[in-house]
Amino acid sequence: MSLTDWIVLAATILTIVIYGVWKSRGSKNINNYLLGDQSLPWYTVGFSVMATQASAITFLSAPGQAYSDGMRFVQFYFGLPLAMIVLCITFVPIFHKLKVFTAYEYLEQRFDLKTRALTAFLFLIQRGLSTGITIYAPALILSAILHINITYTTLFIGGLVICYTVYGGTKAVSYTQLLQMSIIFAGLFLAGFVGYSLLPHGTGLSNTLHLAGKLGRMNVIDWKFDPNNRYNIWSGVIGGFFLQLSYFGTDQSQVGRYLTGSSIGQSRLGLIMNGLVKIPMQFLILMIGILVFAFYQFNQPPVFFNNYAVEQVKQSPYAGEFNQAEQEYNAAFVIRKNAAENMITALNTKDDGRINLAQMQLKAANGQANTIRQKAIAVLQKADPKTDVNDTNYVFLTFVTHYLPKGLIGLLIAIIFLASMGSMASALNSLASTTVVDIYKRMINPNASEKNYMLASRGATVLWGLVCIGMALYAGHLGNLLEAVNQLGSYIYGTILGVFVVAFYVKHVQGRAVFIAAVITEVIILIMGYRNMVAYLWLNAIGCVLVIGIAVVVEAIEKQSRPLKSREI
Amino acid sequence: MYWLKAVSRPEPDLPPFISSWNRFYVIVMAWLVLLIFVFWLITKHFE
Repeated sequence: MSLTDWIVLAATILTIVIYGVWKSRGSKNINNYLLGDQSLPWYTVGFSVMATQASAITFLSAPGQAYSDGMRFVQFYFGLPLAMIVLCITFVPIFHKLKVFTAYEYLEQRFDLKTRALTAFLFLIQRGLSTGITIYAPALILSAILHINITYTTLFIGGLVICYTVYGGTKAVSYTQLLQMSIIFAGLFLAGFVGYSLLPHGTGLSNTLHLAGKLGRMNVIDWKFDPNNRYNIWSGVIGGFFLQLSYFGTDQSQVGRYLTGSSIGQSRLGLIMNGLVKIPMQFLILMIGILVFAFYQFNQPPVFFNNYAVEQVKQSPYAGEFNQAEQEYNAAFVIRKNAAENMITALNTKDDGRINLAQMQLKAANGQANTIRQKAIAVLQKADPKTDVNDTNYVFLTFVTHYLPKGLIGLLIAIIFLASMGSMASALNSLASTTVVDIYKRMINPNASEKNYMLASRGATVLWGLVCIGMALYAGHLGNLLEAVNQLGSYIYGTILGVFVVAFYVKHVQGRAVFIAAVITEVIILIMGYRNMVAYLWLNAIGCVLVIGIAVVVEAIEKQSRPLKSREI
Repeated sequence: MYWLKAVSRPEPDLPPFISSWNRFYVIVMAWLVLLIFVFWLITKHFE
């Protein structure tokens, strides 16, 4: 990176942090610190909700995913607008009217303390572990791209977030996220525009998309139902609906965002904004990946995008074997480039025969290049069996750092940092809220002063921040557990959602029945997840349905046994 | 069922061109259907 990029990077991050701290100054009680006095307008709520969900991996991984797998990932979000509607009708008015700090507080009013404690505990475990990973993943990639030790990138992201979250509480989180999302949108738009302008003269957007489509990358909609396929319209609408409803309705990192709205209507508008904007936003991010894919049809891509792994193998005894594969890949690229140029010429003629012939040649050239790439990856694995063979997350940043102009590189690296900081800030704020409101204030020290709770909230934020940084620093040693931690949400969300659905809609079920149902369901879901019985997206729906079904049955059994007991007495 | 009452009550927070929350929810659903239709057209056109 050039000096200009470093200046842009530092100025962007500092501006946002200073703005957030300035806007959130003067928190004196926990209502202000944890709920922002419920005073924020809908657009701040909306941007904050979006920034919380969009972690750095969203911006790193999605373009890479489009590059390697096409556009079908967008279907993952099809359930989101429907989930927003259900949230607006049920969750938002109930949480607002009861003036709760956390979602789990409501469960004690509806059921009992043990149900509240169970859901709060499940949330703390899941969010505490996964937040570490949301810092680790981008820190790893940034350290490889910027050639900085991962410990420093982790400490930088984590330390900065702890500082402004501890100081300003939920308002600092929301105001920084508002600015973060504005910069993220602007930066991505610029990256897409520059990426398009780098394509060979005369290619045109239509031909670019046709070229990507001929290689199977414009697969936006897949109607085929397959429970083991993560990305088709059915898993997106049904599985995605349950996942998004669980996430936005029961995860305090999201509930805490829309509870800051100044009224029920403002919170609803923020969520609806998310429902309207999220899918087009994700579509455009994936489209940037398609442009990068088209770009690399005409420009030499590296045989493997993780440059750090390539440097390692080149210093190993397998360097000769790898260099050989790299040379073969470069030669295969020349053939593929010619095939791509022939395809553009054929597309301009609009002659179906020529287009089909060009497509066959292009597919063959791509197949040849991919075979050689797999050979190179096999050498990487021989040199170091622990090497991650998936380089999807490195595609976009490799393109950015090699081909974008000075200044824009710094801005896009800043976006990755900001996205990581935004999701971590919400997580820390929600972990602190749950720890203080559901555990400390409710079970340990119920009659303390506001000052005491403020201090406890700040202390909990620092503590969770350190736990997350520790987790991020240790994540490299987790191996296969890493993916399990990433999917932990789906193991837990369905159960918690089931508890809330019973609370809202199945009025005759009491606390004991729902608690037993939640524990049994959690065990079943963990077994299903461990045995890989279905794609993890479906676990949310299954968990929710199981809790409702078991709770109704247990309540019926309890009801039958109650008069019997009273007769015995 | 106070949340259902909240849905139908006139709301000052609603944008001026939308008369009720229910209508807003229908617009969100219509938007989703429109997006899926456009994406399907894109898939068919560029495959």
